[in-house]
Amino acid sequence: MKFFVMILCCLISGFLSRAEDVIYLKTGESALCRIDAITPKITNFTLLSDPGPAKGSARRTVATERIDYFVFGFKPGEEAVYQNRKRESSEVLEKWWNTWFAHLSRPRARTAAFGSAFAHALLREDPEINAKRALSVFDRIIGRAWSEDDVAEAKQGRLRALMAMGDLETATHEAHLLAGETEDPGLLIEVKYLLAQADFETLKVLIEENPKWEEDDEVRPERNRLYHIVVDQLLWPHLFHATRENEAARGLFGVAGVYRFAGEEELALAACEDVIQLYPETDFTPGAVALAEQIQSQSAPHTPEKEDP
Amino acid sequence: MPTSVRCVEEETETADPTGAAIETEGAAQLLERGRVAFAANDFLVAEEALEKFIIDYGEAEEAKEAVRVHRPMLAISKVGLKKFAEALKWIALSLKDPKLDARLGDELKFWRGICLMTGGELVDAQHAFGAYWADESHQAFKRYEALLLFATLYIQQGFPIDAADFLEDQQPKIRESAPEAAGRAVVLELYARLQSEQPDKALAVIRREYDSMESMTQVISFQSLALQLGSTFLENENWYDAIICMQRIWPAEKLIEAQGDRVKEIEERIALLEKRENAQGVVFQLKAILKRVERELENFRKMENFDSALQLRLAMAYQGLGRYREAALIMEEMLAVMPPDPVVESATLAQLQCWMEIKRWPKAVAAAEQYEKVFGEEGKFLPTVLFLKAEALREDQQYGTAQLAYGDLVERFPEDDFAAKALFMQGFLYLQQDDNEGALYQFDQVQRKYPESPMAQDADYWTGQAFSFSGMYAEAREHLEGYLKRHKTAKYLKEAIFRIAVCTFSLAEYEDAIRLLEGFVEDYAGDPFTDEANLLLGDAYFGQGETEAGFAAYERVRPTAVRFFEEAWFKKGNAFKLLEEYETMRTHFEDFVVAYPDSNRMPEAVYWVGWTYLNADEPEKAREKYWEVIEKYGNDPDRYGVLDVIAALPKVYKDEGEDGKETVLTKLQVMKTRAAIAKEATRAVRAGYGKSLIVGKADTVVGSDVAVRSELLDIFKWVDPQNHNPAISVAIAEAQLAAGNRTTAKNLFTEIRRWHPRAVQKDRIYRALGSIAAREGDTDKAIEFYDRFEREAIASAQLGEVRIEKAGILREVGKTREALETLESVLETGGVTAQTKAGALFDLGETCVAAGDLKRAIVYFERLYVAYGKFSELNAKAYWERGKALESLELNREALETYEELVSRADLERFEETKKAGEKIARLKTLVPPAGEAEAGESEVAL
Repeated sequence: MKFFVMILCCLISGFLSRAEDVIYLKTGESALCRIDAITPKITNFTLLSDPGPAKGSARRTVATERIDYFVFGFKPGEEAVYQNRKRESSEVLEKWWNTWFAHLSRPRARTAAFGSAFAHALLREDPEINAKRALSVFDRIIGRAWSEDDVAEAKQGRLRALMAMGDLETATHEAHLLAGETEDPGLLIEVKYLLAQADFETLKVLIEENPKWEEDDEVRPERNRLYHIVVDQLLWPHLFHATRENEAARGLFGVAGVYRFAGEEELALAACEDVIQLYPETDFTPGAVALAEQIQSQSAPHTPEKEDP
Repeated sequence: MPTSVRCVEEETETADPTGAAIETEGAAQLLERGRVAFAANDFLVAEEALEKFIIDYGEAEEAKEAVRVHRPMLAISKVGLKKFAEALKWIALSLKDPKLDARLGDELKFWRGICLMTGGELVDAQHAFGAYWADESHQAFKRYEALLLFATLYIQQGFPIDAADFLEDQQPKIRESAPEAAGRAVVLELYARLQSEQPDKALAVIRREYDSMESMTQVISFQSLALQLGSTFLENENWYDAIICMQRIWPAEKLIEAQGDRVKEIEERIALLEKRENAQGVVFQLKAILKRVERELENFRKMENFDSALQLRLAMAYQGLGRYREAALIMEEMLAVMPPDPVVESATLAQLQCWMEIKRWPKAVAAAEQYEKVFGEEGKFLPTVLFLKAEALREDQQYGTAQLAYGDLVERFPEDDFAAKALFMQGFLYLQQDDNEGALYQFDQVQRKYPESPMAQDADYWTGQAFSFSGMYAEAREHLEGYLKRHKTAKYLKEAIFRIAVCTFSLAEYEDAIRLLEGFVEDYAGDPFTDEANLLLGDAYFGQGETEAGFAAYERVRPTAVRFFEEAWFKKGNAFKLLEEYETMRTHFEDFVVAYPDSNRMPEAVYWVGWTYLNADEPEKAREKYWEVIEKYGNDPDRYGVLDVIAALPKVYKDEGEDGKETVLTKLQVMKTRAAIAKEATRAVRAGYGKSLIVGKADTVVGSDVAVRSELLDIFKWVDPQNHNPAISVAIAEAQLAAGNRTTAKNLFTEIRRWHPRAVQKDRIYRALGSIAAREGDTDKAIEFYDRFEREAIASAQLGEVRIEKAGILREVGKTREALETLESVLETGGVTAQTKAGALFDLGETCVAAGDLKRAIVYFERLYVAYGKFSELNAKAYWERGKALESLELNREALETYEELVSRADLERFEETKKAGEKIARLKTLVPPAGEAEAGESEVAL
């Protein structure tokens, strides 16, 4: 353990060497500095301001327990990645996740943000291959991150990773737990969306296994239950948090997809129409427009070409 | 008009008379007193002192400077006292003063606008405010007020569009510097848009400003206006805009909280400004705003049902748009969190109706139950709700529960309009379940209890129908004739006339039937009933020997009425047969085969074609016809009927005996081989299956017959469980199972079930899957399949055997009670063979033995050989097991008697148990005294 702490200290002192950081003490005082090393007992830093008339050394040491939190300055190139982290590649993000990993549990550290972005990128790039890795990153954040928001986001990410791994049962179970724990509409919207996706996957499997479900008295009730629950969950932000337009439109557009899957073309068209009318400027509106056109073109009666006399 | 723009409304205290002392004051004292009072905002005293000074001393040259200095104070004091008309004069005089203090000038210019506005000089007032707003050197806070008042004056003059456009244009300019004023400008703009009847632009304001609502001073006003706009959209059936609008209205609690925060902010600001000098004007304005906002908040708090009304309106908009699910979900959520009120009550009913609209019956039932729970007997819609609940249950095919629900309504609300309907529906449900007597009783009740209800006529008509369904045609006819007499405007006129004719036909009164049916066909030409009428007419005419008319009637049945059309076709063919017109008969059925190869009756037609040849002693032509059909349709998987034609082949080779059978088998083999080469899988499978049918018995479980099994295993490679007749696929799967290919069999059974969940062979599928699961050690799965068998194939002849197998598994997993119950149920299952029942009894005995219940076991074993003596092997085992159980119970005498009975039965001699029984007897005889001795011994003991 001691060895591990030493290694950690070395690592931290190494990569912190040129940052412009701020140390906030529990007394409310703060110092613009460059943090040189942090150990569980002491923190070494170099003041960046004038050390004073005494012209003494700018290097200082403070007991770590006196520190409220650190604000680490951005390293070269880091800020741009941080600002754009939701779109960056896993390769780029992994570097920053590793760079800041040692600070995951520190208040206000950016580690969890980089971690979540990294894991989401993994899922985005190749869910099948990367799901396990993403899951482990999310689990690290859940286990050690300081911020509740970071933990909440990682929990959502964990559900996505579980779903990508095909473990719908665990994903659904945890999503239900998560939904019961929170009143935050943003989190609830995401959890319900994930639940709907998981249930939709289950529905697809059920239909795949039972193509003649309508004739099957045993399967039909379960199919109907899943179908309704998926639609209800997807509609939730649209009905109860409609001013979160993107999420509402995402759900409604998802509903159109479920209706199509169920062969309810008219309902699917209506859902697209609702997206277009109620949420004209979201990420999902162009998709709804295209889908509506597709449905209309498929259902439009064929007009025979005029025959020459 | 929104409250933001009303100006000075501060209540002033009743004047504090300054008393006679004033009379004694000189100019200096008056000025001093006036100044002090003005500084202290005591406008009453200031006005009195300063005005007296100006009037009494103003003309004096030495007082002119003092007058000039104090005139603005007098003007402001008059404003403070709401003496706007008087103030106007003093303001005008003050503003003429070139040396007027800039700050005072600023103040007076603003108040001039107020005075003009209050005095009804709206144009001048607007000019005044316009000039004030335009001059950026004026005090900022008042400039924003001037802006708002300028717009207000547009509205007051009847130009709301100008007001709105002006505000839309100006409001962005002040958003950053004066967010509070900008917020009020938005409210005023929204109000002006509504006044202008520009709902689209009003909606744009709401969409634009939604994100800024958090900081809006008059958030309640804004949202109230949004609700007003939403309601207007709703009234105009502009559903989307109504939704957009109402989606952006906060719940009451959030609104009150936000508005409360704004009040606090204003209060804090006032407190801060009051400490500053020269801030009276701003304080004055802020207090006016505060008062308005507080009044809005107070009024809003008094509003009842705000949230429920809002949610209900939103749900109505979705309902109007035809989005019943969305409407129902909104109402469901709302009802879950809101305390009951009249709006909530209406919403519950609306929710129930929405669920019914999208046929989501369990939700409809739940909504009805929720209504009952929350509103109980007090609910004003309770009868409607109870009726809808019963309807939902009926639609959900929960007939028993629906029956009770209708009954519940009738019992609780016998006087309600729905009671008669519910009573009628009870009868109708009985009818649906073939309980005609039950239906007749209910229909009679409807007519007795509710003779004035419109449902009485329905009950009257359906009584006649119920008689008809019961085969009581005379009663039915009489009743329906009475129905037509009793109701001058009979709701079921056509139906009753038709049914009377049908009953007459059913009573074999053909002459009257022809008259009635012909009348019906003429009166209701083109009606769907006319096809059945023509079919019956054909029968009736033939019954009367009127052949031509009969044929003509059959020919009038239209192909669109498939069932009647085919029936007419076959009846016509049968008529040709009776008339011995065999050639015509053949052509008639040949035409059918060609025209309707998809019909289920196609093989029947082929049969009749063949029959005409056989009848003409031309069997080869009959065979030719059969093979022709098989050849033509044999590879089309949708033509299930071909299999029946193949199965019937032996009939047309009957005259050739075993040779004929061989010929069929050879031809089928050739067909199979050729089909295989041509990759005609369906034809190959059918040919092979046909062979298996001819080789073995058609519909038995495959396994015992090796020839059948090998044929079926041979065609396995071509079988397609999705497209092929499950009769073939199941037989092949059973052959695989019998051959020990469990996994292959399991996969095939699973696929067949997947594609044909309603196949008539589902009993065989479930049994096989259950048995496979049991053999694989998955007992839960096995029990699941057997349970499904019991639920879905209750009429299967295999039910008893399946229950025995299931009981075996239950016993294996230690569920003795369930195992015994299952075995007991075999004894009560109809259609179960005696052998199966005997087997069940033996298993019951064994299960009891295994559970240590020997007393119960001996009863089952005895019952077996007493009731089912012909099953020798089981009998021998039952005797043996009973004897052992009796020995364990130390009932040696009874055990001895049992073994003796076993050995005494000649038919059981060959069994091992009988041989072992001899040894038992020998041993037991040494333990059990002879019967007489024992009795004596017992007597001694008794003595």
